[in-house]
Amino acid sequence: MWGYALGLAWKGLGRFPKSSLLAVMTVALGLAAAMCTLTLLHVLSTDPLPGRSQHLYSPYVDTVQGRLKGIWKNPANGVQWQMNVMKPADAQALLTPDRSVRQAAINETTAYISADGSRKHVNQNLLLTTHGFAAMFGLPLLQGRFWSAGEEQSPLAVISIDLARRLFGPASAIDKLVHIGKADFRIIGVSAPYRPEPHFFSMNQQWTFDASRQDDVYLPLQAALGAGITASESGSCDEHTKGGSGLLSDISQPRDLTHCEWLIPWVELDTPAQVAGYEAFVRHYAEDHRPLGRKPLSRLDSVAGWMRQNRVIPDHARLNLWLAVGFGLLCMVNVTGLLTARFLRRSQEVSIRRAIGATRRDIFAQCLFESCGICIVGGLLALPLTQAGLWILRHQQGDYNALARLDPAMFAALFLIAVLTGLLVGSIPAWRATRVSPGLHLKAV
Amino acid sequence: MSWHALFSTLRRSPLMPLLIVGQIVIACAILCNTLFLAWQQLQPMLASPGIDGQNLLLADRISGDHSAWTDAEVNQTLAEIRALPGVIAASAGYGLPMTSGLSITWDLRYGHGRTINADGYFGRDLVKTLGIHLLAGRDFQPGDYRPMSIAFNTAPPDDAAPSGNTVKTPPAPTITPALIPIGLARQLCGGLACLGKVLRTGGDGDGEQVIGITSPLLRYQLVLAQGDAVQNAILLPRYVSKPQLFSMAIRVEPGRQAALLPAVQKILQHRLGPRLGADAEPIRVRSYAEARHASFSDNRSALYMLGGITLAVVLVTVMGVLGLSGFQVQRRQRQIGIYRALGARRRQIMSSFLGENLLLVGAASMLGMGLAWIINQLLMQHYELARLPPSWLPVGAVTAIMLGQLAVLGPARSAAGIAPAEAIRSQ
Repeated sequence: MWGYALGLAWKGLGRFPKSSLLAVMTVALGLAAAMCTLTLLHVLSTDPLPGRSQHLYSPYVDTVQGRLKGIWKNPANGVQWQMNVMKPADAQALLTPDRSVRQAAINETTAYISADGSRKHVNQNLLLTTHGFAAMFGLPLLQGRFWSAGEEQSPLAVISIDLARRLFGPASAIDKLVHIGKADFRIIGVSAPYRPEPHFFSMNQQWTFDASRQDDVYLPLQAALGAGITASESGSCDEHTKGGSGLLSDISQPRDLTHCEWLIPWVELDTPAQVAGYEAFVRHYAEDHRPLGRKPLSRLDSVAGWMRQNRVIPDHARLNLWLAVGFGLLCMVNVTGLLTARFLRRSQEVSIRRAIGATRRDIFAQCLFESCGICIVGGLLALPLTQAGLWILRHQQGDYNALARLDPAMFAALFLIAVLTGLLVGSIPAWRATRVSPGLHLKAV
Repeated sequence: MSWHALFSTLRRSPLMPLLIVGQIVIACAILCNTLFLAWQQLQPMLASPGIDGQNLLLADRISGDHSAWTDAEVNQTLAEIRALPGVIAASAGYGLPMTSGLSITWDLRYGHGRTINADGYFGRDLVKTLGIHLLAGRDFQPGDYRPMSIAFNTAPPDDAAPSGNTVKTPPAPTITPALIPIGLARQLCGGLACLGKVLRTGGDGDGEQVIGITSPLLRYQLVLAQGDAVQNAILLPRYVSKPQLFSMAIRVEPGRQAALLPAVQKILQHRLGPRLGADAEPIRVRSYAEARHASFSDNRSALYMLGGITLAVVLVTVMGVLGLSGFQVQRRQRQIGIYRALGARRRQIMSSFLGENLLLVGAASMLGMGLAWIINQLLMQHYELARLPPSWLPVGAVTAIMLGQLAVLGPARSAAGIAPAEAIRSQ
C-alpha cells in the first residue's frame, strides 16, 4: 500500500515539472539561508575548551584608588568590555593555592624575539603566565614539559611548533636559547598549535575570534618581568601613581606597575561547593580592600558567563539567524501554497481514486510523500547552496567569518530539517486534498 | 462583484487566502526590520561629513613602538610637509575623520539636560585643514591651544593599537573654548543659541564654552553614528604633544593630491619612521576618499547582506502571491464567465481581484507591523539593537502592499480577459 502511494508520489513529482522545480528551489533557498546563519552561530557558540571551560573561573575585585578608570568598549556594539585585570598584589592574594584546585595569572604582551645567535628579530605575542596554565587550559605539548612551581624565576620558555619551525627549521628546539628582552630563555617545551575559539583567556577584545592569531611563546611571568619585558596594561592605576594614573600618562617616567591593573587571574574550581566557597572568599576580599568612597565590587566569572556578559558572540550573527529563520518560514508558507494549488489541480484524479475505493488516508499518504520528496530534493540542493553561502561569508571581512564551515552534525541536521519541513509543509495541502468531494468533480469529467 | 460576494467567497474557501495572508504577514515583518537595519547602515554614509573631502590627505594610526615622538619631531615633520609646494595646510591630530585609531569621547551636558557622549576632535588648526565651515562664532585663536599627550607606557598588544577603543579622559580642570556642530547644539541647548553657553563635562564645575558652531559634522565613531547621535562631535583646542599614537591631515591644492601623496609619505617615513619599530608597517598616507571607502566597508557588506535578504523576500513573496492568485483565477473561471455574461465589465472583474487582494494584503500588513514590532522588542531585550521606531512600520507595510498588488496584476488581467461564452463552456 505504502509502496503504491510512494510510486504515485514519484510520478506526481514528474507530472508538473515547473511547479515541482519552483517548490524545490524555494525549499532549497529557505533551508540554505537558515543553515548558513545557523552554522555560523553554531561555530561561534561552541565551547572553546570542551570539558575544561566549565571549571574555569576568573575573579575580579575592584581595589583601584581614585575615580577615574579606563573604560574599554567593543567597537561593534558599544558594550563595555569587561577585562578582569587586577593589581599584582590582589591577584597574588586571590590565587593562593589553598582556595582552588589550580591557579594561573595571565598577561598577554609583545616583544622582539630572536633565535640564539641570529640577528633577525621578530615581534611576537607573548603569554606571560604561571606554571598552572598548561594543566588548567589543556595546552598540548609535543615535546618537553611546562615549567614547574619552583621554576617561576628561571628563564625558561615553551614555544609553539610553528614558531619552533620558523626559528630552528626541522631541528628540535628543545634546549635551544631564544633572546627576548634582556635575557636568554631556554626552551623546555614545544606545544602543538593551540587556539581555542574564542580566545577567551586573555580577555582581549581584538583577539576573540581572530583565526590568524595564536599564542606562540609562553614565559614564566616573574622571569619575563625580570628580563625587562614590559607587560601590557589596562590603563587603570591608583591615583597619584608614579607615571600617571590613566591611559593618558606622563611617559617621561616608567609607570609603577604595582599600583596598576594588568594581571588576569584564573582559577579552576571543580565542585559547586568550591565555587561557592571561592565566591565568598572573593566577596570578603573585596569588602576588606575596597577603595575609599566606593562600594565593594567583586565578580567571579565563569567562561560562559564572561562570554555572555561581553557579548563575545557578535549580535549581528544572532540577528542574521532571526532574519534567515523568518525567511525560511516565508518559504515554507510559500511552498504550502504551491502544494495546495498542485493537489487541488488534481482534484479529478483524486476523485476517481476515491470513487474506486481509495481511502482518505491513502490520498493523504500520497500527498505527504510527494511533499516530502520535494523537500528532500530541496534539502539536497540546499547543501551546495549552503556551502556557497558559507564560502561567501568566509570571503567577507570580519574576524570570525573565516571560521564558518559546515560540520557533519550540521549536515545531518540539514536533512532532518528537510524531512520535518516536508511533513509540516505537506500536511495542510494533503488534508485539503482529502476533503475534495468526489461527486462534484466526477460530474465535470 | 459586490463586497458581499467577495466575503462569501473568502469564507467558503479560506485556505488559499489564508496562505496569502500568512506570506504577507511574514514578509512585512521581515521587511520592516531589514529596511530599518539597512537605513541604520546607510545613515552615516549619507550624512554630511562636514568637512571638505576634496584635496585632503590623511595619515592614520601613526603609532610608536615603545616610545613617543617629541614635540620637535612632530613640528619638524609638519614644517617639512607645509614647505612642499602645493600643500595648503597640515595638522597633527587625535581622532580625525575616517581614521581608525584611538577614540576619545567627552561627556557633555547643558543645564539639567541629558548627558551626551561626543567624539573629540583634537589638533591645531583643524578647522582650516579639514575645511570645516563655521555657521556662527569664531575659530580657536593660537593662544587657546594646550598640549595633549596620548601614550602607552608599553607597546599595545601586537601591531594593533587599541583601535576603536574608547577612553574616558579626565575632564578639563577649567573652562576651555570648544566648537560643536549644529546638530549637537540643537540637542544640547537649542541650536545657534548655544553660542557662548558653557557645557558641563564633569561634576566639579569644569566645562567647555561654545565659541563657535559648525555646519553638520559627522562623528568619527561610525558605528555609533545613528539616529540623533550622527553629529555627536566636539572640537577642542588641544595640540598633539609627545604622542605615541596620532594621525595627520594635509590639505593640498586642487589636482595635486596624487602628486603630493608619495612626497608626504616619504617625509613621514623619514622623520617619524625611527620610532615605528623594527618590523612595523610603513606609515600609510591615503586620500580622504580612499579612507572613507575603507571606513565604510563594514557598512557596505552589511548592506549587501540586507539587500540580499530583502530581494529574496520580495521574490519569494511575489512568486507566492502570483501562484496562488493565478490558481484562484483558474478555479473561478466559470464564476467569472457567468458574471461577465450577466453584464459585468472587464474593469469590474479586474478591480474585484485587485480589491480582494488589497483587502487581504492590507489586513496582513497590519498584522505584519504588529509582528515586526513584537520581534523588535524581543530582539532589543537580548541584543544591542536599536528600537524600531513606530514611524518605520508603515514603510514595511506599504512595501508589502505594493508587492501584493503587483503580484496580483497579472492574474487579474487574465481574469478580466476571460470571454463569457468560453468560460461557461469550459467545464
